Amino acid sequence: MVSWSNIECISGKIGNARSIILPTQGCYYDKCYMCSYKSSCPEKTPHDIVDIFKQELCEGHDKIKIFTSGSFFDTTELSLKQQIEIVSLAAKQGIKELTVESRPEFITSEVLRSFKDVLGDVVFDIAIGLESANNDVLKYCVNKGFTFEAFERKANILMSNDCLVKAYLLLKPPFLTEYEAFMDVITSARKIESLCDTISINPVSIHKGSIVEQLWLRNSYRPPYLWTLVECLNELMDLDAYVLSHPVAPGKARGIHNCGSCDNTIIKKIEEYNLNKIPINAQCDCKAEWEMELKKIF
Amino acid sequence: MMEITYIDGMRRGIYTYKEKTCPLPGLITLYKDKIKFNDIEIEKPLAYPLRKISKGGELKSMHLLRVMDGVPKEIAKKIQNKNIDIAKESDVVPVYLSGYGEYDKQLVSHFSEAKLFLFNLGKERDLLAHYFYIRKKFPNSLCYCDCGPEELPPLAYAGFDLFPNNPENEAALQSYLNNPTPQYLEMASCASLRAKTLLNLLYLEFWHEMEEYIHTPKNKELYISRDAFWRPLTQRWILQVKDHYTPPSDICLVLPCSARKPYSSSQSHRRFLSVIKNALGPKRASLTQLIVTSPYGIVPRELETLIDYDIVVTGTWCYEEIERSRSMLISLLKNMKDPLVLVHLPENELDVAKDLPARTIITSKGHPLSNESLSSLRNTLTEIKDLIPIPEKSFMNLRTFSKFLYGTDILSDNIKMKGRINKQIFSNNKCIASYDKMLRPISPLVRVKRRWVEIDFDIKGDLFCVGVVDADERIRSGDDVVITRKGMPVAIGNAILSGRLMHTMRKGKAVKVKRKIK
Repeated sequence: MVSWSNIECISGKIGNARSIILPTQGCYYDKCYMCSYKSSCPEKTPHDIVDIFKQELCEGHDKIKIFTSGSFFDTTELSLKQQIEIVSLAAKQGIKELTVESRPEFITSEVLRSFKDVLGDVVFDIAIGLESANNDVLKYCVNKGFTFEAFERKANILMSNDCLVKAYLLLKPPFLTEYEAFMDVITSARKIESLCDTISINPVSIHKGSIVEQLWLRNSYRPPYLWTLVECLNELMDLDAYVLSHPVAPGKARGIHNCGSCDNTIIKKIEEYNLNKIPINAQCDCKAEWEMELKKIF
Repeated sequence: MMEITYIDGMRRGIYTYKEKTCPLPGLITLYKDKIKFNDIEIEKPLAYPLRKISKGGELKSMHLLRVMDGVPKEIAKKIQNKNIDIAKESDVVPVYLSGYGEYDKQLVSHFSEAKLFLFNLGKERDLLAHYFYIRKKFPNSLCYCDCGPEELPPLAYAGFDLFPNNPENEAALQSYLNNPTPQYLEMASCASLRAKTLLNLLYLEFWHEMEEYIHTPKNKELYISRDAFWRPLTQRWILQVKDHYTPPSDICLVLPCSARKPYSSSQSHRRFLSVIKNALGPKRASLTQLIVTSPYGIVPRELETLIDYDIVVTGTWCYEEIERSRSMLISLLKNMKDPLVLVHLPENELDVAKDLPARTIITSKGHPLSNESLSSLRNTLTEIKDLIPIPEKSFMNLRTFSKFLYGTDILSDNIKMKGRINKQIFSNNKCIASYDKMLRPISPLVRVKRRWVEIDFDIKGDLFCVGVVDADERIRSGDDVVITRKGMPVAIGNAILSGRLMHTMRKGKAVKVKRKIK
């Protein structure tokens, strides 16, 4: 069980957010090339999962984000009763916004309606790992198991149920060059702009036991450069949706990184961008290396 | 359209596209969204999912699913099978290899001819295997390999035409082009592990594929590094001697080599030859003289003018050198009925004659030129003189040479030789052939079974690929060839391409004509 607090932009204002990872049994699908979250999940969701959740709550937050390494609405991970109990516990904390994550197949109007009473005034923010709005990328580079159209349908259902929609876009899935990865995020973001409130760009990090790790170990894959993320964020400044990025393992060999000397400065600037949308300006000698990377064919 | 002007592993030539010409081997410049080869704009191949953002270009690229080394097998299968579905005719084809031979092979064999194939320097062995497949199937196509300056020389030697343009690669290519010799290649390939891996694979594993593109040298070859021992040229020699050399008799004399080439012009060989002449008289033409050497293994006396080389000599022979000579010797003896081998070698080379499938007499005692050794050689030769057959015809050495070169004795029974250095061979007062280091037919009456290039028109200048009807597949660039029309020699010349390339290339010179035959 891990939880932490951080400052972020909540409904246009800067506030405190609490993130809580719930140790459920994890994602039933577990076939995405870059992901191995399932392998660190317990075999079965603990029966006292609601109590575990309760222990991680603390006062003074404007937002709670619940991560289950799977889908919050998947009833094999959390029974509907547990889901409602958790949402109602969170809502009682005096927060403005509650974020949960789910694959689109579990999102229905019916499910959403069952939380209406316990949520009260709390805004329900549903995050979907879309990764890319390009069906061929989804099929061949991520192996996501659903299509852009499935996301589109569910985003509309969410909007008509007064929920916020957050979409994750994957920066640099395997089998794409740095340039293609950049173009994919840009094109995808523009395509889903009107379907979601927030777009979070998730640079690939190397999970232990994932297929991406196999490629990385053979020198066939490098996590994206921070420059690419910077370029994406600057390029997407004008979007109506709120664009942000919370990279995993930034600056590390297994995460998004540059040369090592400019990483920390750039990571700080990305955090500022998340809060204030200030265009990122940075310089380093390794930018030339990145420009070479963009030109590659293989 | 590509035109090769010189080939020796490396393909030198010119590429022409819509009146734009570029020299080969060359460099291409990569940009984010396009590729440029001098003035020719090439569409950048993008991963299939991103094909719609492509900006296009003069040469159109195929957008395939990218795959690379390290991918699990099921994914490789899924990707390469899909690639077979999406592959269509294009100017530019990126060759993405998964490392799973069965799937990669299926995809690569599915490609149709393209103007340019793009390869990545992934697993060296896979790269070369698929590259040589494409090179053989589509000799008119350009091949690019993504590489750095260290690996550029062995890849250029393998015949890759294009490399990424950057100052380091430009310098590496220029240095190689300025000194396009095997000794430079061998030295440059010591720059990195991958470069040496490539060279070793080319010399040891792919020499058979490589050999077709190796130039027959006209000048002295230098064998400096240990790698040089495995040059495809030396391996070709082994096969040629095995397949095409016909010893004049079953009585063999094995001699050491000399620094001076041809061997017979050296001090040591002049003494050997004088002993042989004294002992055997005219019968000496029936003595099979085999010279032990490294790296060529065995050089029969009749063929000695074909090779000219210098090698590092320390007096110590390594295992491979001894073995090469020994196995060549054995393969020659195997075709003889009742071979007798006289071994006149220094002590450190005697292992070459160990356990031969023949009666063996060692005639040397210590140094082969010592008085004792030479008189022992003379005595032994005199003793066995009766076993040596009387030569059937005159000029046996030339006839053996002719059989080796042309698959047949091009000389008639009664011939006369005139001249000192450039000798001319006459039959019935008509000059039929010339002989210096090379034997060349210059009469329309001669018929050759090898080294022929058949045409079907009246030849004026040099012979171009378009004019070649058929050509002997055993021809290699640099070989002296006979251009024939309905089998009748019409000209002699020097091959620019291998026999197979002469009729598979669509453009360029095939044979530089030296002399027309009337």
